[in-house]
Amino acid sequence: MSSSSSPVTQLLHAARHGDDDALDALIPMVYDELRDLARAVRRGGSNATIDTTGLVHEAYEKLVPSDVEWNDRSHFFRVAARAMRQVLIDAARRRQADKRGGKGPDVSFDDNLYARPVDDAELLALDDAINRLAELDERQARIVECRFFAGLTVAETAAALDISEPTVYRDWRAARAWLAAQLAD
Amino acid sequence: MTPDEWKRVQRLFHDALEIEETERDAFLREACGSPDLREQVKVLLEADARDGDRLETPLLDRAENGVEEGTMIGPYTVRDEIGHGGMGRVFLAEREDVGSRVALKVVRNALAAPDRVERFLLERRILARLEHPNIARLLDAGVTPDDTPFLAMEYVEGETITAYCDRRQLSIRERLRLFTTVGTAIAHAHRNLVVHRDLKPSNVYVSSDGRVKLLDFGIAKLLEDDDAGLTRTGRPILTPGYAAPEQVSGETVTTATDVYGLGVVLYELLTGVRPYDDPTSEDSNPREVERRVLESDPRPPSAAARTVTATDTGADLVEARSTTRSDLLRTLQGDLDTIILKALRKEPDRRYDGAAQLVDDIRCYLEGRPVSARPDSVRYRATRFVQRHAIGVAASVAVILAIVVGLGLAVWQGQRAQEAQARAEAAQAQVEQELAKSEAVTTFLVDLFEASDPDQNPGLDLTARTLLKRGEDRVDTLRNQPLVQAELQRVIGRVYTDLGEYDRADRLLMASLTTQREASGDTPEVAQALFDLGVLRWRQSNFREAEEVLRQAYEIEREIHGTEVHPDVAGALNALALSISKQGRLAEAVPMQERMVEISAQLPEESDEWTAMSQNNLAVLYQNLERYAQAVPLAEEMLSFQRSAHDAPHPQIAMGHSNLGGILTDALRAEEAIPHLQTALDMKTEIYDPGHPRIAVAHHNLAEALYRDGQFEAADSLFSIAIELTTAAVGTRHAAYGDVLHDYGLLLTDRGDRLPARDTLRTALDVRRGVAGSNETRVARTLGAIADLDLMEETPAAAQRAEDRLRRALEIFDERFADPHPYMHVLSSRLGRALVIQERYDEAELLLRDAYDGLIATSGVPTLDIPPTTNALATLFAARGETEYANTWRRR
Repeated sequence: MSSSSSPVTQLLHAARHGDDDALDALIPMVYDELRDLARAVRRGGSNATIDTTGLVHEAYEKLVPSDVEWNDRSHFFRVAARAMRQVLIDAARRRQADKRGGKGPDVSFDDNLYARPVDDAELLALDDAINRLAELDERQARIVECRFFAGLTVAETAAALDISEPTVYRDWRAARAWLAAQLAD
Repeated sequence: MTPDEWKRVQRLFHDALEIEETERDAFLREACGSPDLREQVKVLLEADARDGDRLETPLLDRAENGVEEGTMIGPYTVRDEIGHGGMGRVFLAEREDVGSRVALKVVRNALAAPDRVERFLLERRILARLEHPNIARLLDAGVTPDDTPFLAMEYVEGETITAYCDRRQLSIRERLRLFTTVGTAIAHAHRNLVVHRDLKPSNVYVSSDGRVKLLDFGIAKLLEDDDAGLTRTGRPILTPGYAAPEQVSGETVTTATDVYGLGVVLYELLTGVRPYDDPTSEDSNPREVERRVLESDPRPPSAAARTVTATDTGADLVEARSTTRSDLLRTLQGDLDTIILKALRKEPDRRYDGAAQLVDDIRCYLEGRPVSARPDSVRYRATRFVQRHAIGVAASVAVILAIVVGLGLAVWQGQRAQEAQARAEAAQAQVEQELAKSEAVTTFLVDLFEASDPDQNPGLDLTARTLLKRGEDRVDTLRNQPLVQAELQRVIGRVYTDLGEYDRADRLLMASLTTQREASGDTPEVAQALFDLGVLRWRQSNFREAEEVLRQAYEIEREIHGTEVHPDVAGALNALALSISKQGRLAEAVPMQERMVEISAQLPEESDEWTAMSQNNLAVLYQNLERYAQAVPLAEEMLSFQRSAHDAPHPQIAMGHSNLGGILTDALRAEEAIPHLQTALDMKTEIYDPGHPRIAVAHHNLAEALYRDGQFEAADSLFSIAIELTTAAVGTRHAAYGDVLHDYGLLLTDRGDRLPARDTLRTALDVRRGVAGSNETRVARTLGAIADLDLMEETPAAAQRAEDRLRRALEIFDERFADPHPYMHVLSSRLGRALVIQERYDEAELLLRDAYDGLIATSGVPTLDIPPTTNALATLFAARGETEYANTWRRR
């Protein structure tokens, strides 16, 4: 690739060649992008609503230059899923903090963007459970991020994680049952 | 819990899910060692049943667009969610004012640009015009006040075409008939300039009343933002395994893309798997699938079915098609393989011209008429190999080329210039350029190697040999690219074979075969390598080994193509038949060669060439069986074809002359043979290296004809040259050396030079005995020739030796042929004469009478052995005192 590649291109390329740190390095960029996008939508005053995939794809189009090879593109979604989880969990955490009285002036408006009919406490409990799941099976935690937080389809998840669709199905079913059991306790 | 425990729990969880709910408890009691483990699995199963779909809807999408049951979208009221995917969610919805039910697709399309909405509305008008009983109609499409596009489609209650066929256990023919409906609907859409773009079984429904309905027609296009100049959207995420190569690589989608899609649907419908599924591994990585879609050839459906039906689920698959495994494989092989592979070709313009043509071919198949699809040609596949390995081939080959051809500087400079240019361009363009260049270089090199094959380039200067030697040295350095190395070794090895340098050819071809085999199993490349090795063994007169490898090549080719009517299969069959007849199993070869003539007429490409060749080979076979009345017209036809097809001098014309000449010589029409053999010799001298074995053989042939014509002196000097040339070309342990000595021995015998004749024939006998796997009937003929010399001595001791030799010779012929070979009458006659000399008249009489009848009956060709036979019978009867009867024999 030429030297004109963007940092994102280079990081994705490195990730493809087995450098997992490169993927982690991408997360902050994607995180910021996702947040900015959400803000822009809100401030634009339109009635446009947000959905997960819309955000992720939008972030993708803004961040990933067109010269990135197809294989690398799939990896972007893996990063985006992770970043999306962080964005959403952070928002929930801040809302929880608001309730307890620690309301910070700089976050409330944006965070309300994510005020969905999902119980924040439950979401944070889910986040903890996913961390525990990652200790049992890292890949299953990644699958949950892709499916639940980033709204990727099974096929997209398979592509993002370099595994087959049947594997995604199997792991996803076991993982979500395990998480449901954890949350019911 | 530890990761290992979690793995065990999951395994039991998945196993339990496969089992009926009522029997799960029993299963878990059985399968779980500890109550603890059982409890963990049970908790998981309960959670799955209770809350399993709790995480199924992505977090943000739960409230996405506010769509839930009861929401109004346009005139529709949303009921159940019936699906969701990359594009959005699908609801069953009702239009209350008219009471109709629709499938409502709500597109995930927040942040939609206004121009995109406009285009969406334009496209939907085109789709709305698409009216066909087998296409689910687009009833309505619009945009909600908050800019969310939605599509209302005809709601189809039913199941996917694959599920439908399997559940009803439809046979292959029933499936094909149903499939023609799908194809016809697609053809209708294409006439209306609409491409489906996303054909897969889940988009082909069969309603409960058995009607095919294509879903989501053109939707992919409708939703795609292709206004690249403004938004530069990436490609949509594709479903690996269904997307056509041009979709995977982001090229233009056309109606040919749907032809490909139809091919995949048909493939799956018939075999249960997709073309690029790896049946040996459950875990097929989507990226790997994409790579295969772009780079490797799909397995023929019959081959895929062979593998998949050998797995655990194979029996179900066969049963769902109401057939047996062997019937299924047989049905798929041949036309169906060819039709589907044509639809699946990588290059859109090499597929069927349209869905209608694909449907036509399937109808032809169903009605037992010939289909139009033809397997890929050899030339096409060879080019594809080079393309596939372009980078690897080019990298190393460019080096060889630079040094070898003396074009080094030019190539180097060209490369530099291109590199400089490429640096200025985008990285992508550079890669493409390099690739295109390397392809060209590679093709050129392969062409160059081929060019030194005199069969392809008559009269071409053979200094190419020097070039080859260098190529051969350098090919050894390609160790890190084994397949590239193997291919080049094969090409060079083949040319060496044609140049008569058998040792070099042997080393290269064996190395190539070993590498190809290890790398890939029974592939076309392995078949090619086997074939080339077979040709080499044949040229080395090692016919037994030639037969062995050629049979393997033939079987692999036939397996790959599923039919005999294919140039590669026919080529292997032809060589196999030749190697069999070379070992004297002529009767076995006759049906194969006759089959070859049939196949040749059906071959799509260069059918005339093939016909000429197979007629020629059949002619030679008839010649060896001494069926000259059949052999001569075939050989004449073949020669006149070669003369019309090529410009002299040409190897094929030369071969035509020498074969016709040879047959005429054997038919005792030497006078007519001589001009043909003279022409053949002149032409070959012009075409080939002086040391080429074919030059030696040409001298030999002409010498033999001159001898048969009674021109002993001219024949003698030509034989001397032929023997010298043969020794130089192939050495003294070669069948050709035995052949030339044998015929020279016959000349010496007829001229009365008995001692040199005996020496020559004995040497011929040793040579013929020493050639591995050679035709033992040659040994028998030499034994017969020496016995003839013995008989001339007219002593009982010599006659005894003759008898031994002749009995051995007869045994050899007896072993070889199911029916008595004509030459056996000659041998019997001589044996009879040997017995007469030994005064064993009773044994002799029977032999001589049979021999006489046989010699007279054989093809109506006069035989030199008839007068000695009648004389021997006369002697026999005279010795018994039956003078009068003896005289009647003497007069014949």
